[in-house]
Amino acid sequence: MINYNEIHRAYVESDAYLGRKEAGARTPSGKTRWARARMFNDQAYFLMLFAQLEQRIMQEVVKLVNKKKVLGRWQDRRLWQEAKPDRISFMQKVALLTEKGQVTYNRMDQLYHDFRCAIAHGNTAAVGPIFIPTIAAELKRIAGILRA
Amino acid sequence: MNVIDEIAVEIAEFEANHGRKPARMWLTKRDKFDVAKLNRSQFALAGKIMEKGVEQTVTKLFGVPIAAWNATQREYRLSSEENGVTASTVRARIDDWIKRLNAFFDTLEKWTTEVPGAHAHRDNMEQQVEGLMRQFSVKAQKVPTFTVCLAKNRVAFVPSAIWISGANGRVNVTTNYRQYALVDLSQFEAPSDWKLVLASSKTPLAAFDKPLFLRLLAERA
Repeated sequence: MINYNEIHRAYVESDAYLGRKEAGARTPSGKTRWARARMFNDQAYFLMLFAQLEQRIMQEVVKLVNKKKVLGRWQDRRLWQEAKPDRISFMQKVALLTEKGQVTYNRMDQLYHDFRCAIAHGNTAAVGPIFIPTIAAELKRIAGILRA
Repeated sequence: MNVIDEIAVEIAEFEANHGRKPARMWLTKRDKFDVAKLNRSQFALAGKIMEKGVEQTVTKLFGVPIAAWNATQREYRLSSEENGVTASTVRARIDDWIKRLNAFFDTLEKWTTEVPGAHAHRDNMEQQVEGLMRQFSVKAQKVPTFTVCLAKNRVAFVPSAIWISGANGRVNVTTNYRQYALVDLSQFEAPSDWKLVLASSKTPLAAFDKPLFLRLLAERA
């Protein structure tokens, strides 16, 4: 993951600013408004980190396909010759890098559908606030597992 | 293969991976349009679609409700309703939160008595209404707050949110100069594991112990 430390510092600063506003609000509606702004900030950082992971997964899949395309035996390489990484869905790409149904795959499935897609489709309330340091560490760990 | 066949295959695949059907599915605008292109064996569906509409017919056909027709690609997922969340579990989580906060503030109060000249003030406030509370019509409760003063320095601990992905609750910590987030990283019903979020890349999360508490209390600009 690129510049994790820089992203963490930026997140802490922006979250602290919104947290101060939330803590300083005098009315319940004011508190709710700033809490929502804080939630959007969490989700924006999550999307940025997840987009970097998506990019990383794409690179690993391309690497895998290129490796398999040049296998010696035609029987081994025939399935890979026509593989187009940019035409397959995200979870199919994940399945090329880790076994389907296993812990990493299932967690990616959850992070992709319940977080990334829910936020991207405007279902932000269902996702709620996200504690970025924990999730970022997890994405970083997953990025280390998903290799060609 | 038309859209009906494709959805059937994808649902079967989802079931094979997760051991059960998806609770909801997100379809694309294109899918809605393509449902009309049925093959010979599915022709009976056309009548139902004409009579009851695409939404109801497709839902009944697969036993999976449609969440939306505006997805960029088809998606299937398990919903929160199936995770056993009810009004009573939401209430239990709030009670657990209040219990954890009180236990944490008891510790802070004990540390405060050991600092000459420092004094603690405990109060409570109406908690913030969060998504699950709204969803299950659970009323907001009074949550405890804690403030400690030493000379001109003041540190306030105000609960912020319980439901936060990646943590088991968050507290706003406000000093005269800075704002911090304090999170409990414990699992539900496990002993609390309070961590203060720092902008440092070496220790982004610091265990909230007495030296750290004293450091906050003595913080300067």
